[in-house]
Amino acid sequence: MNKLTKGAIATAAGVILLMGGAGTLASWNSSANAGSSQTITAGSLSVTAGAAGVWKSGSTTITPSSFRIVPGDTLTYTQTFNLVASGDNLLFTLAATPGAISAASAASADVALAAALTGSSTFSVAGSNIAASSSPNTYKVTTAGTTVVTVTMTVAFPYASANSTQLGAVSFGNGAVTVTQTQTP
Amino acid sequence: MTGSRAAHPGPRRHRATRPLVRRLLVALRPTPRAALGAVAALGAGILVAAGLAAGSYAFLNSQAVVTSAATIKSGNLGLTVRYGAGAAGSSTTIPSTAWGAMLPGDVVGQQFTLASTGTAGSTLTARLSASSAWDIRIASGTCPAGQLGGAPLSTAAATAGTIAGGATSTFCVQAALPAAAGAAVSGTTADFSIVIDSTQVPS
Repeated sequence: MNKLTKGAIATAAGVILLMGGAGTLASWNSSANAGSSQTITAGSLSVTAGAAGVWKSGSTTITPSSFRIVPGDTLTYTQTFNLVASGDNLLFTLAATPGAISAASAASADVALAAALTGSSTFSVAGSNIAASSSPNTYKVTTAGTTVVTVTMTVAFPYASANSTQLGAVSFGNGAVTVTQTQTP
Repeated sequence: MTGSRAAHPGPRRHRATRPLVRRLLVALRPTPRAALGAVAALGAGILVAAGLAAGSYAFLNSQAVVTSAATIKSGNLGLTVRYGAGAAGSSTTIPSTAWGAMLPGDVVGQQFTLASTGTAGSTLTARLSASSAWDIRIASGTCPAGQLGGAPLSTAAATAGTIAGGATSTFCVQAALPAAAGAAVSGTTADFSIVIDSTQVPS
């Protein structure tokens, strides 16, 4: 096969390949847009601290640094948080964890007091932007917006604690409030 | 023979260089164990990479700090007793001269001061360390002209009032020689000790 024949065959093959992509040679066809363009926006979930909280003994506001706790006392720290949630199908769990209690020093009174005190936390939700779901501490967004969450940290000193707890000092740490999306209603 | 050896020097050179390449190839040849090791290393690498980028795999979530950090200090409880101008302490002695030459039916009172040296409020109980032929009564406040009410003290603790944290309170102790005291008591001397306990009460 001479070079001329080879060249002719190659040219013909190239032309056939080029013709394969030509729309005008396709079968009859048509297309239409399905629906119109839409903007899809994701929801959000965030919690931020409100104003600084207040320490109380019973119903009396106190300053922890000058207060002297005795057995039978229950101190509370109450702070509000702004929960911003949006999302038509957004379910989330809400949790508050109390600050850790640790002895201020290795002194026996501090250690005894730290062992005697118990910390706990609760929260309450105000407003109708979120609604409680069937699972504990689980909520569903009903209306996008801000919900006020009131978190209460409690430090309890059981009555009839030992004399060794007198004049002790403990450090009560920061707590945390957490919201986490969930799929379980 | 010599000529034939000299006629084929090429293969000898080839054999001289080839072992080096072959050794390298053998060293680099993947064995099953090496292959498994490589797969494991690759898997570990992917896990580490996924772990480092874990934030992007989480659910929607948010956290805020509850600024509850504070130092909490406990109070204390203490009680001292003081008679007259004496020093306050854990015990005090009331001179017996106040109760000298008592006759049946006599009632003599003496005042003393209790002070709370702590921050906690407490209830007080009083008892005698040993039983006595005399009737010993105790009550808060100054001594009255007559006899204090209530039952005389015994060795069992009896409620004797309350005292607030840091407060000072005057108490009266009365000794009465019962009118029906027997003749055997005549001319005798009896010491008595009162033990006052304070127990913290919830505020």
